[in-house]
Amino acid sequence: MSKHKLNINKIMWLAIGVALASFPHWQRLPLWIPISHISLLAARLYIPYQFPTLWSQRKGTINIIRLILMFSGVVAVYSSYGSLAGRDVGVALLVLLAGFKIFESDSKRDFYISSYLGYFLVITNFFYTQTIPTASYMMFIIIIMTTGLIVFNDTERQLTTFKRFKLSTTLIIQAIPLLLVLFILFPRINGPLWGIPKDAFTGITGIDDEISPGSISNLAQSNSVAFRVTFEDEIPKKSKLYWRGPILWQTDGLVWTTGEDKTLQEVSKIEFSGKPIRYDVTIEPSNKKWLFGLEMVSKLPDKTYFTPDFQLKTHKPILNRQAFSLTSYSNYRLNNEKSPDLERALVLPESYHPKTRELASKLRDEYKEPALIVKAALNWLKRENFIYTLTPPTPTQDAIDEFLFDSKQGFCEHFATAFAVLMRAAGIPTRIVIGYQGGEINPLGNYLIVRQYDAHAWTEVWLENRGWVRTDPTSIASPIRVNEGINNAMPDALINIPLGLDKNETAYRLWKRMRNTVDMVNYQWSQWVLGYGPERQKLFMKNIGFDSINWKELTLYLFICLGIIVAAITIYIFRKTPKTTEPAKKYYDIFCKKMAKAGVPRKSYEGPVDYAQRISSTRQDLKDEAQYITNLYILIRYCSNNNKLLKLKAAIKSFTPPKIISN
Amino acid sequence: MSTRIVLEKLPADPASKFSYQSEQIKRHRVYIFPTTQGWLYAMMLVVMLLGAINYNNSMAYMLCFLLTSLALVCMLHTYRNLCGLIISSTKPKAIYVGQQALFPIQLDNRLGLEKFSILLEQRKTSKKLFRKRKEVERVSIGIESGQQPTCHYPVQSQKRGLLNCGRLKISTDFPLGLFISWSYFEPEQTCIVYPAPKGQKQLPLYTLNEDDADYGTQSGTDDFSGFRKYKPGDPIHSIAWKAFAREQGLLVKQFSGKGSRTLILSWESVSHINDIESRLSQLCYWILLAEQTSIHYGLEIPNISIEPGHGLLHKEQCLKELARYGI
Repeated sequence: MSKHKLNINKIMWLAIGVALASFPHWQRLPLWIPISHISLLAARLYIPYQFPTLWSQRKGTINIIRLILMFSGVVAVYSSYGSLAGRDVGVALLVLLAGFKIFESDSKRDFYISSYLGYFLVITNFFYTQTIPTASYMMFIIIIMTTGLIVFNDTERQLTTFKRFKLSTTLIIQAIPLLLVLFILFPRINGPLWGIPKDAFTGITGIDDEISPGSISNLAQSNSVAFRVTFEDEIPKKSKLYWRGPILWQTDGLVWTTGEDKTLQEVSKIEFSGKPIRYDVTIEPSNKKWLFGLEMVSKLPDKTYFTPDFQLKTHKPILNRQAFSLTSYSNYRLNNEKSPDLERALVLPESYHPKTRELASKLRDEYKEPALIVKAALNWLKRENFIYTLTPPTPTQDAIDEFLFDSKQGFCEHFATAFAVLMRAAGIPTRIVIGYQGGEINPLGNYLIVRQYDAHAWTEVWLENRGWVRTDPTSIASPIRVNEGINNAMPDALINIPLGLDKNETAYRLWKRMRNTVDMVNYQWSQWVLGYGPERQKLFMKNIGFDSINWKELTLYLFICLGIIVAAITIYIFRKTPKTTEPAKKYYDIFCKKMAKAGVPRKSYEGPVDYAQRISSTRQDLKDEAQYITNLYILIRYCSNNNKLLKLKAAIKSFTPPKIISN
Repeated sequence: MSTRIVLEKLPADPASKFSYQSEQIKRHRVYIFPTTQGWLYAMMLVVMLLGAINYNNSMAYMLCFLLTSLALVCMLHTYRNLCGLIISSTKPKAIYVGQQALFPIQLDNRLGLEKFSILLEQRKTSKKLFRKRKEVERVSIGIESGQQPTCHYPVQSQKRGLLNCGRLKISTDFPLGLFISWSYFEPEQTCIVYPAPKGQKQLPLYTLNEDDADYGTQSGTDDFSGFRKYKPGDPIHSIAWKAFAREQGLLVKQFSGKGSRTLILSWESVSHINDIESRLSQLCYWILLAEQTSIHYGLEIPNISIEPGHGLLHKEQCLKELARYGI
């Protein structure tokens, strides 16, 4: 088909679109893949047009070379990833194959398949990031690739490059109403349909269910969002915002873990008092099976459960943004009866932390009463002037002893673990809770943003009659951390404030405001766009008055809406009639319209002269004007006397024929 | 112009600036269907949707829906790109066997916006589904708004007689090639196919004035015999310009008598050829030759006899009879 010979123009658009679509992947791929990708595109753009004979005559040889290269490429991908399945490998293969496909493109079919590969490349980007900038960039690529299809089909070259681009944009803009309806009404189901590759959620930072010295300070370097919270009433004080996560029972002297669930026999019992706090938590994907609720959550949302030690867990890992409605009370009493689990909360590895044990027995001998021991220990921490820092010295042997008695520098996990060991050694059942503490209020949206650097660890000690009581040693050593947030506790180390901004108060405030605005937009985006799943869909339909809608009804409404919009677009498209290009004709048409209103419409067979004569004979009053206008029109239209155009325009503008006088 | 076909609607307003109340206009259905690429595109969308559901990825949903909507919009545009065209055909020029007949097809776009990449092709005659597509001529044309270009659809002539263009498919897959919108149009005019001029390059001996043997020395054009009225096709040099100047109208000087060369091309003069087609080809050649050398010639084939004459019309009449012979 000579009609669809792929000239350089067509290939160029295709290659640009595909290269732009694969561009964000380059940083994630081994260097040789983007290099081969770009070389293949460049070769396709260069060789056939510089050496046309070589290209057409040595087709067979080129094909063999191409196949060999392709095979070795796949082998190389296999050897660098160790598998041919998974998200990253899939992307690597797609980028590579898109290059090869474009390189061999010679026909209409090849062209289309390459374009579709380009669309696939666009979608793979969303498995890594779904931010607004990414979405806008991908929209731009879609327009580029659609322009490519238009270039391909504009065989008569009727459009300039700009107009092709404009047409493509027009098509996309007209598609947007349909897109919105599909997005909102298309019945959503909860994935996954089949397995998700294991590597699909790597690179997510977040709290793990174990801590060791340094694990939380690592998180503190990250300012990515963990979750956002909208409170129904006012936001509680920062020092009350303890977001409960995993509870750690077991230690080997260095690492704290949850231990095994089955050994936990504790009968959960909790009493609440005070005012309930109602709020919605929108959690970012964490690939973990737990939620973070304000201590202490009283009502379970759907699809969640409590562990006996009151951790809020989900049945499935959180793989996409999800919102949960929670209710908490800040006054509570947790398991104030003795249970076998208390034994587990006393276990320490043998022959570790001798100095700590020594201190513990001293405290126990001195104070006897557990509550007093706890108080004394906390006082001791306060007295000893511990330094709250992200970069404590690396322990050489016994991390706890060195922290408590030598360096006296540490981050929250150091405080929590050391305190837990001290308490256990003193015979008080203690466990560690990890989660987040505090959060940043976004005044624009009046919601709370909890970031990874808000990660925190604290302890719970069990006291007779009072049950498990939260004890945060960090708050003793560095009260500012808990009361005002981590940013104030260590402002230099944590937030990436642009250089110099922290010196200037106004600039700093402005920057903070900007940051808040950006976060609010992102929050709404993630809440309503990225988090739009079956639950949100149900909620949305409920808000617009459709209670408990099922998928059949949704589909029905979807098709009705689609039909209406398609009809509207059809009317819009077909409504456009060609404009009369000649201005004289345009003005003359206005004249005819005015005459028709006055009672003398122009007959379809009548020329301007005949018409003017008829007007003169039927309407004596309009004779002069009609003749004048007709003469001007004829002069312009048929004698190219274009300088009279303004006169004609003025004459027709001022022409106001009175309605026919009935006799 | 015989048939005019308007694709899609006519302006609803009867007092519109264009009057199309003509009887000759037929409305024609416009069909639309996905192309192969369109089906492939649909498959791509399904895969994307499955991916979006599996990964619960909102942006993947978004992209999938955007491309779906794009296809829907593209469908409307493809349909629009054909609507409002008025097609009509005029009589094609006569040709000789073996030549390509060019059927003039007028595409009148005064009703619509600019039309892009309109494709004209003969409708596939083969009923078999999987037979390899016969190579058919394709004519691609773009029409600006308000233009009425005529394109020529070529049809290869195989044999003498009347050549039919057959049904033409007028289609477009602009802008994205995902949908094809088409309609059919059948030009009613036929193309006359004359026999191919072939055979002896020498004119046969004169047969009319048998007693007049020395035709070679006479110059018949010199013997003026009178005037007759001009009819189209008469050579310009035979017009009596002086008479025209005297306002006597267009008159043609007639030369007759012994001197005029007159030749009857008859069936007998080609009796040495066995094949009828070859005979006709020979006669055709001679007619063209005689026309060139300004000899008066007549034609006598079975059932048909044409008085000797000269000129374009005469030639066309003779050739037409040859073309129609036996058909």
